[in-house]
Amino acid sequence: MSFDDRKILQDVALRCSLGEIVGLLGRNGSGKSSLLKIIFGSLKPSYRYVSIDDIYIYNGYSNGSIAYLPQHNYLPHGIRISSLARMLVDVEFWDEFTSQPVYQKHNHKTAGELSGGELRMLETLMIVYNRADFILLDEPFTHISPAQTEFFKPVIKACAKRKGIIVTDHQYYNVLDVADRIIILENGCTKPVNGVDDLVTYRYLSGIG
Amino acid sequence: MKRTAILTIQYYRILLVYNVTFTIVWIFLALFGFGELNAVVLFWAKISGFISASVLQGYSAKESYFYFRNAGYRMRRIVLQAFLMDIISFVFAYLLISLIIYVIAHFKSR
Repeated sequence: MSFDDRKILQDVALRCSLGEIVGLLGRNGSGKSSLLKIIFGSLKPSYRYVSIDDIYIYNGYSNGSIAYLPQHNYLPHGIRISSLARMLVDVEFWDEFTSQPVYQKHNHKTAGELSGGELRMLETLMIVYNRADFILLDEPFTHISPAQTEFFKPVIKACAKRKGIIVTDHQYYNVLDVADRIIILENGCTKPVNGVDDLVTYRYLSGIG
Repeated sequence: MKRTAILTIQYYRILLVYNVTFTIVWIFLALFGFGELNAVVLFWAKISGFISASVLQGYSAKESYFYFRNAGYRMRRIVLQAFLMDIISFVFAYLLISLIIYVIAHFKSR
């Protein structure tokens, strides 16, 4: 995939299994979000091959096997949170989802009536409790408070017991906390990260403090 | 089936203000252009209103498409279903209004 003749993604191979959290790191403009959108199916590159159980997937979302939390807010305004949640949340986990305090407090409101942090929390929860087997989280720790971040880490880890998750965020320490393994996007290629030292080697970090 | 219907209604609801506004604008433009209002002109204005509203929605609130995709649906399918819903609603409303006008005219002439 390229923008203005600059190749963003060219040698990418990413595998995620059920029960696993893969952390995806990379500098600004390295193509992390584009890669997640390509896997999800909302962005079409010149070539892609995405498969689940060795079966080619044309659109990750169209058969409900992949859910994606975009960087921006995605819930439409003017419709109650409870109505929106019913369309996204897996019926199997409905009770668990509705027991979340943020849902109980705001389920009767619309997206436009919530603060940025509250909306982001609900949007993330709706993706984490989605019926899809694979979850793509693009910056789930951004735009929320440190307390909310600490709340989400065990929720994401619990979700990974039954799903495969790919998570990316510039708060790399939070990604390192939740991920089982880390992949870095460097010069359009995916490379495995075996330790924090590798992040310095790949110039993602300037040094280890 | 029920999920599909709910998602289509939700999309239709998001679009409603734009849809009504653009349809009225197209009716006025058609009135000035053709000089008269008939079923064909109204139908054309309705279709143009929906298309204009969908295009504006696509530019101004494209982020909400991720909601429908995360529900497992392609936007093309949702928009098409909403379009059919819009046309059926229009035809039904048009027939109803025509019937009421006819009944009123019939009773006045007696």
